[in-house]
Amino acid sequence: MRKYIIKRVLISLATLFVILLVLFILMDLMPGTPFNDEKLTEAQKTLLYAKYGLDRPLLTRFFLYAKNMLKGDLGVSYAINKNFAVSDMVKDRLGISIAVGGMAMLIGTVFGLILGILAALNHNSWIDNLCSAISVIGVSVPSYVCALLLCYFIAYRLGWLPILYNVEQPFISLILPAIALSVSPTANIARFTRSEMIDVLNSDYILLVQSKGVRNWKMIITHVLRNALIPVITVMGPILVNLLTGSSVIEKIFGIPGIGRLMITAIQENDYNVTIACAFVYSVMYIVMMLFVDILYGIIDPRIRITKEEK
Amino acid sequence: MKKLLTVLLALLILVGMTACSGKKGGDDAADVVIFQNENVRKAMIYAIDRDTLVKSLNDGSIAAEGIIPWKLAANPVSGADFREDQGSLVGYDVDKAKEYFAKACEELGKDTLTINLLYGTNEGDSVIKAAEQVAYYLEEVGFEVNLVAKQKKERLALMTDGDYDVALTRWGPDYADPQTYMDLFVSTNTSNNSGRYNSAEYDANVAAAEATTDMAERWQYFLAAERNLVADDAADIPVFQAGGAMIIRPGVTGIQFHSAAVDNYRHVAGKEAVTLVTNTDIIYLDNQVATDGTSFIADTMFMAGLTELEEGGNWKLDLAESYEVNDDATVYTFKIRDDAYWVTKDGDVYAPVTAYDFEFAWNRLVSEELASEYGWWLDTMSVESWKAVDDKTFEVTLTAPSGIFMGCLAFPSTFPINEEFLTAQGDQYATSADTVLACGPFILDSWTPGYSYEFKKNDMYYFASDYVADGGADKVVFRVLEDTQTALMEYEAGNIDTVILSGEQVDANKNVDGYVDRLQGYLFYLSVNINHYGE
Amino acid sequence: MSMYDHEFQSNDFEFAHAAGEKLIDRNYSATSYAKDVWNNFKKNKGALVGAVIILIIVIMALIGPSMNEFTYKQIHGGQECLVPRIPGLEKLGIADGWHNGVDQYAEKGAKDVYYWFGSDTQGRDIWTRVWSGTRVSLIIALAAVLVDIVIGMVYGLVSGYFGGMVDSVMQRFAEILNGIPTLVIVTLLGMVLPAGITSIIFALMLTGWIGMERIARAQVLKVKEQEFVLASRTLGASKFRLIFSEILPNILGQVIVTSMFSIPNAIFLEAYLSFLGLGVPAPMASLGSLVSDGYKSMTTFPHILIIPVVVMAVLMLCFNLFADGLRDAFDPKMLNK
Repeated sequence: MRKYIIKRVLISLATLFVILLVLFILMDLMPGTPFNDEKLTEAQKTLLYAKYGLDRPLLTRFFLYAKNMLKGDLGVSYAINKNFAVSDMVKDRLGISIAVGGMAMLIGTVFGLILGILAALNHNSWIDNLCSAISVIGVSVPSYVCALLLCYFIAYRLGWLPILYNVEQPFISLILPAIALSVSPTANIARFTRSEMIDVLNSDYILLVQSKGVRNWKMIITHVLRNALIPVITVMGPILVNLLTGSSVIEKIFGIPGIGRLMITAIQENDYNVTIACAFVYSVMYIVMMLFVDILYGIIDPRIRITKEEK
Repeated sequence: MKKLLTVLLALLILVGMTACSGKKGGDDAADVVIFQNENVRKAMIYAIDRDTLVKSLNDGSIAAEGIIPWKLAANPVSGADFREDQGSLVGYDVDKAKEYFAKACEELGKDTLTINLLYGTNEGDSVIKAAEQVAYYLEEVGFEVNLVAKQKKERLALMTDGDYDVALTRWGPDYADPQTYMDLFVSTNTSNNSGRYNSAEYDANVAAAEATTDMAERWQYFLAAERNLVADDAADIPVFQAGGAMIIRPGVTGIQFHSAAVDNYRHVAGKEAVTLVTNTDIIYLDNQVATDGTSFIADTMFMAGLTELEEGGNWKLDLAESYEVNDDATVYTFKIRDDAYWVTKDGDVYAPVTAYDFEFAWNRLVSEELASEYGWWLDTMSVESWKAVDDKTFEVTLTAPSGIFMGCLAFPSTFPINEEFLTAQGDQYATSADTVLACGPFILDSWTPGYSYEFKKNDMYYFASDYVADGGADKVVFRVLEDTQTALMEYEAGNIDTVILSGEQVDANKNVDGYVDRLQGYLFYLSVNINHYGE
Repeated sequence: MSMYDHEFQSNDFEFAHAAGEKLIDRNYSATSYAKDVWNNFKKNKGALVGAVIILIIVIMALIGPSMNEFTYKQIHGGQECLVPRIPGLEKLGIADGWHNGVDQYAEKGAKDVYYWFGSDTQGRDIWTRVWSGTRVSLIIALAAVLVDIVIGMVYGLVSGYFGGMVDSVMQRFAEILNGIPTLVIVTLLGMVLPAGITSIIFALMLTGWIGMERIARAQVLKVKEQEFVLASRTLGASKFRLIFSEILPNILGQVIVTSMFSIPNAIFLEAYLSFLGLGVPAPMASLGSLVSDGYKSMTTFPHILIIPVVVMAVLMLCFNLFADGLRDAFDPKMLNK
């Protein structure tokens, strides 16, 4: 197992390196430059290019960037907050995005599992239909519509929670954004859990367990859930990454200085360093999550562990 | 095997579809020569129903009547607005437009004329709406219009490269004079004249206006130049002048809007702590590198120049206590206030503001290394040279008398900079509240990028004591909020004191106490790529 | 006790089952798989209703835009933000064009005009825009499903089945592609390709299939070690046959359910692209772009938002009911349950 993990980690590092290179090339292909502005002359643009070292060849820049990155230096912003260290910009905003995303994931997982399990246990009954309807509405109504509805009724009309994000009471003011953000993961997890549970409930070994007279709840927890959740974990990984790296619309609506908004602005402003940094944060999280899921998979599912160990 | 074949076939169809569509896109490109035809451009100018267009924007924008916006400049003799003197140069007349269109078709020997209309998608909702409306009106006359949606930076890149047909673009005036617009379209201005408008008559009028010292004559030259550009040649097609609807909490006073200069928030009063809304964050605190309105407003809060703009756009002395001017109005000598200080974030005096700070700042502004977008600012003011005579005396020599000189001194790019502090901070200068010095009415207390920036009163500033008596705010917070609907809720809940409204929200809030409908200086126009020189 | 001590009772010779229940051998006629699926599908009421409503929406998407005198891009100056007004219904006090106690139509000088779903902020007829938008969204959604199934499923099947080195390389490739935020890839595409539906489908093609690929692969991993696959393999079935006729039918249910989820994702991705100017070129509409436009007037003129959201939600709900029915019908284990 340890050998497998080490190998997986090394592969992941190599993947990240390739992603960074691809990002760099993509940035180079981006239309426009960070210094396109109505009031900037051609001569000044050339000067700015030289100043920030953008006139050097792509590979030189790439290796310099990779080297600096190991030292924790992600360059400076060209257009969003000029001359700011990108590492500081990302660091400050990532924390908030992780907080909102984490809360949303928690809510999404709990409610998604409850809905999914309820639906599966009452397959083809009105509870099943209700759960299905809830999860369908969850994916078909955009999160920004939910966000504004929540804002209007819970915060504005009823005044139970603050309308906008507030640094002085971060937890309370992040509840609404987290709920708004959790709508779609709840639906996805519920759907997936339901269909996996139904599969498992219909399998022969459950029939065996049932015939052995194991009590219902014990059976569900130890036999059904354990097997049904393995595929659910694979979908949860990417969902979590998407949540943690911020949602630009939710951040816009609630006035949250998060990383999702930063990346959109960076792309729009052609702020190369910020775009690469935000995109790479996403990449790192994604690859780490995949690694984690793979390893967890091995731990939960003995079949996979055994085949992996044989190799 | 059958399944695999089906799969392959499906793939092939998809790839084929994509390839075909790519080719089709290329064929659709408009024939560039058509824009050299005057009748094409005239058809465009008459086709647009600007009044209805601004009604659907509904955010206080007004129909453009020429390339010079309303409230930019006043006749030096009569005081009348430029637009009053000129009258409207554009009109909505479908029949006339169709007539021109038919004539153009005949001359060009074509049945259809295609326009690719470039516009920016991240330049505000009003731009998107305006582009859709313009396209509709052009189609009503007979044109075929493809809307080309790009992000702002890409749109600008395409325009710089001349790789477009017609683009919806804008210009914000830098100073209160027609020159700020007229300079854009002279044939020698390769940076801004993207359509490569080239008219000897226009060039001559603009050159004559800039050469003359007679202000009345100058005015007439500009009027003539605008007629050349819009009425005679229809080279650039004015669309609308941007407005801005907002609500300011009743009781909060002192916010001064300027359509041709930076809005003045220095005299905010009526509450101890005022929270204002901004829809964009500060980009750069460094007053000489900043280029956007938000950064400039922040600069005017904690910094100050020789003059300041008052309500109505008139200047008054700020850090300058007095000034003298020689007989032919080319040498100005400013006396800097004795009680002007550089103040640190904690409110301690760092150093007095001296004439050397101005000399250093102006040298820095024009220096190549800085590559400031406003490096040309001093040229516009007709400044030839400047020097600090002694600690408190700053002398500026002009190439010729300039009517806009004193007003332009209120622009943040001309503010002083303390050399010692700048050198000490190095690369970190102006990247946080700790790495700037204040010399204006406020001190930058904190800045959380993407969230808010806060100012507190600067007790060392010369008008600080009067200010308190006037009910001035001790604390001014700017909160960055991009979504207008939640911002309005926050306003109604009483947590913020101003709110910017989108066009959709105006009707419902028009009669709310504190509703303000302001006119901005931005003029949106269609830049026509007349002498297409791109690919 | 020896067996001879047993005394036979009369009921020993009756069937052990409940009274009246007879066990008779039933002869099942050989039905094809497709027919089986159809029979099962028919039994599911929800799925049938879903299918019918999808059909109605598709028909509306085809004929809806030409049902009144407006076109999707026709701008009516001065008639902005009108609320719905439907002839007939207006007499009942619903959809009569009144908003906040004002007859909007009279106020805006449109006494004889009927916008069945109201008009938007530029004075365009929402009815026409919603149905032509539905058409665009349906095309995009169908393409998305196709791409998901064709690329994602095949990729996942191959990767999962072969395992080892092949799997490793294929997974790394997918990881690299997925490790780059969609937006960065799509923005670049927006530059290379001309704006239009095909570009959006292409963008979906590049990024949309990975979710499906992961699920297909996970399912294959689960199924491939099962006995029936082993049985088939020992009987000498080719790899191709193993993948497509043994494993595929067993994971198809999951694949279909997942692909139905890629429909809203595709519609939203398109809406998101419209927001960035990379979606369907204006003034063309899609459900996604209508929703994101309508969002701006949600607190003032909610009808501009509600109508496309409802159409979208109904469409999604029906696709899901339909998919559920399909899944149950496809799954051999669900037969006769």
